[in-house]
Amino acid sequence: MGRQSTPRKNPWALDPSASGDGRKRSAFVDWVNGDRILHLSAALHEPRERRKRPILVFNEEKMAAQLVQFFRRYHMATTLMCAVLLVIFAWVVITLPRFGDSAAPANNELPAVYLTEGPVETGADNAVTAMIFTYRGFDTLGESCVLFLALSSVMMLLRREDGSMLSAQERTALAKAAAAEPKTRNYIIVQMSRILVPFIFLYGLYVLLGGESSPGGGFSAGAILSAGIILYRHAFGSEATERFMNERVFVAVRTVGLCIYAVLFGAYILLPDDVKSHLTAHLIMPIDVAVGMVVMCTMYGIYALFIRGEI
Amino acid sequence: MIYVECILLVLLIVCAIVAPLARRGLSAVILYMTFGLILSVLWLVLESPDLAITEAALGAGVTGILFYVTLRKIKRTKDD
Repeated sequence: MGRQSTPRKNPWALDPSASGDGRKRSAFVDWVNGDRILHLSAALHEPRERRKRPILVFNEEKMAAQLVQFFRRYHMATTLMCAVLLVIFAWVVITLPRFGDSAAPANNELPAVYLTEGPVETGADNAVTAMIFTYRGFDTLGESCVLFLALSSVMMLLRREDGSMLSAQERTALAKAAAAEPKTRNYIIVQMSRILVPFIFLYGLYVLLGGESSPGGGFSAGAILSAGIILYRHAFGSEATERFMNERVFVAVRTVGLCIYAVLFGAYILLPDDVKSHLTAHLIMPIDVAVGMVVMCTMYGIYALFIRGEI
Repeated sequence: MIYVECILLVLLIVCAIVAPLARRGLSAVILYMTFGLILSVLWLVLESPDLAITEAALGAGVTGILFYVTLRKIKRTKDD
């Protein structure tokens, strides 16, 4: 009788005192963030109608035993996987044609086909660019995705949260870091970059747009452009850089770049052959620019996140 | 031309050996950047200008800067 009269305590009930900044956050969010410990004891001692077992029970001995078992299997599984991979790789290496073997197709047929058919099929004079963006376009798409994901991981790890989430210790560390940053810029670097940066950007754009007919292309152009932005930021500070490269522009450029590439190359794969042959000549340039955008943002983003923890 | 190539290759190997042995972090970074620069010249000699451009921008430029920034960060946390 007494049990029924007292209402069951809801462990997920809203508790405004739990969140530090007075904002009302749900207890679940606090629990996920680790700001709140769930007091299950009250809920556990009460009879449960629907669920027989409690939600969270950490039986340490049982978990330790499970862990031991897991690690025993883990070693066995990794050893087995390594052995299988080793056999596969060894087999592949053994069956490879000898290095420089003139009878191997990689040494006689393929380069000839790429060099003779490439300019006709892709419309690009530079065989390397033609190869990277059409024949091996899927490969390059994967590389762009890897760059995108790598930058996302770096952002997750190094990005500074807004002030409310920080502890006092972290805040003092940040203030110290800000104080350590030099207020006056190095005169030589400022003067030199005033001369150099425009030429670096110009050269980057030239390499980007001339990738179809001369050495270069998206990857190198992106690296050069990002080097230019990094030099600019080092010389003139982050306030000056934010006029043309703030976080919104940054996120937009890298996402749009990858999307353009994915859509264009998806179209290239799925379209029928007779349409494709007319398209490839026009496809290289947009894909080139898209790759350049992604690479530029990745390089600059990693630098900016290392320096200050934000774009 | 073959002599230039040989000199560059020897320099490349010297840089590769000396860079991890350098006592100061900054010298190691500079040696690494030198390695990238020599390698980019070598790519040019081997007639692959595409790789040379990328190597010069990445190996000798951006990666070195990233190492330098990391080095500065490590020093700052050490001083605390």
